[in-house]
Amino acid sequence: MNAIINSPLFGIFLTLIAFETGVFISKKFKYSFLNPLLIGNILIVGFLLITGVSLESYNVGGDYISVMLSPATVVLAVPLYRQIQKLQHFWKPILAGIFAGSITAMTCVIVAGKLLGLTKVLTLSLLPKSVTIPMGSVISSQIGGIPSVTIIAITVTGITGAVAAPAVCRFCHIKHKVAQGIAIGTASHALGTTRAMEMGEVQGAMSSLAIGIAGLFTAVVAPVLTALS
Amino acid sequence: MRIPLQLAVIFAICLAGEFLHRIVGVPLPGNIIGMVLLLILLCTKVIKPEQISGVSSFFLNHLALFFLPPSIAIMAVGDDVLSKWPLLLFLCIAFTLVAIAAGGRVTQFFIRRQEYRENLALRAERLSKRAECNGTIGGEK
Repeated sequence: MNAIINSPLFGIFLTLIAFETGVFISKKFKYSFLNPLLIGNILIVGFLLITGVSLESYNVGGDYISVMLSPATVVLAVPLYRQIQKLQHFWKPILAGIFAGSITAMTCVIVAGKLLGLTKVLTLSLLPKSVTIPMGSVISSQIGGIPSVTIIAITVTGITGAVAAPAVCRFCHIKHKVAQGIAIGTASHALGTTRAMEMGEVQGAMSSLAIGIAGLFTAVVAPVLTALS
Repeated sequence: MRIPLQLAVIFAICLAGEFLHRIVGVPLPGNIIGMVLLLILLCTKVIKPEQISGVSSFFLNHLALFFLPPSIAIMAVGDDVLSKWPLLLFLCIAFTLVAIAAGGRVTQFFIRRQEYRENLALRAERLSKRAECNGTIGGEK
């Protein structure tokens, strides 16, 4: 049985089935918190806990899919290229919005860390949580956080963005498509972008634009905030 | 382009990004550099979007799938973090909502202001053109 479990095909198969089940359930019930990723995550974690299969065994196959994050990030340039006209026209509001979103996310973490008495390591691990996983984990280790905690915080943040973004936009009267996309990409990276793409191509493109710029801002500002806090 | 060739092009860009990050030392993750490289190739028309549409639409349509395996790492955190998980979960969720609201409101505020100014400028231009027309008509009389 171990030979089967430790085969890369096992992790890949489990991921595909869990994801497709998630997509099926979210399409069937149409509640926004029933995110395919959220369902897939619960299904796989539940399966591993119940059967006692280790995370390492799952990752033998899971890593094959994780590798594809890199090309998946690269092709984000395509929707970005298609929307480049809008980027040029609104470049000032876009930069202002991304900066505001990034600073807000980081300031909240630092203030909460002080008020709630979190350990410094934990605060620093949460600091780059709005940034895409490859960038955030690097920033985290650079400023003295724990990358694995950061990755989890980033995932929760991304799921939150993907689940709640349309509701927040409605509640806060964020109606402009460019503003919606920028807000989602800045606050919840490529995971939120999956939802932004469902909202429309403008939102998707602006969101994927914001991922990179928010990452740059965070990479520059996070060490400064760390020194100040 | 056939799908294998499209994949080769995208992977070559990924590798170029990793090269610039790891060997040359550009302080950005390789895949972000790769995204910028592809954007440059598209803007300079070296690659047309249609040429890689098979691979790009596959990745873009199923983007969330590629985040599923990394998200499973949530199982592997230590007890000191695990004991605080309800608080951390709450903070992550709350601050994400705040950040979306802040980023969106600020962007929208500046977009509206820019649009308002552009409308004013447009109107002023029209008015001055009309005044010019009236002026010449008046002059002919």
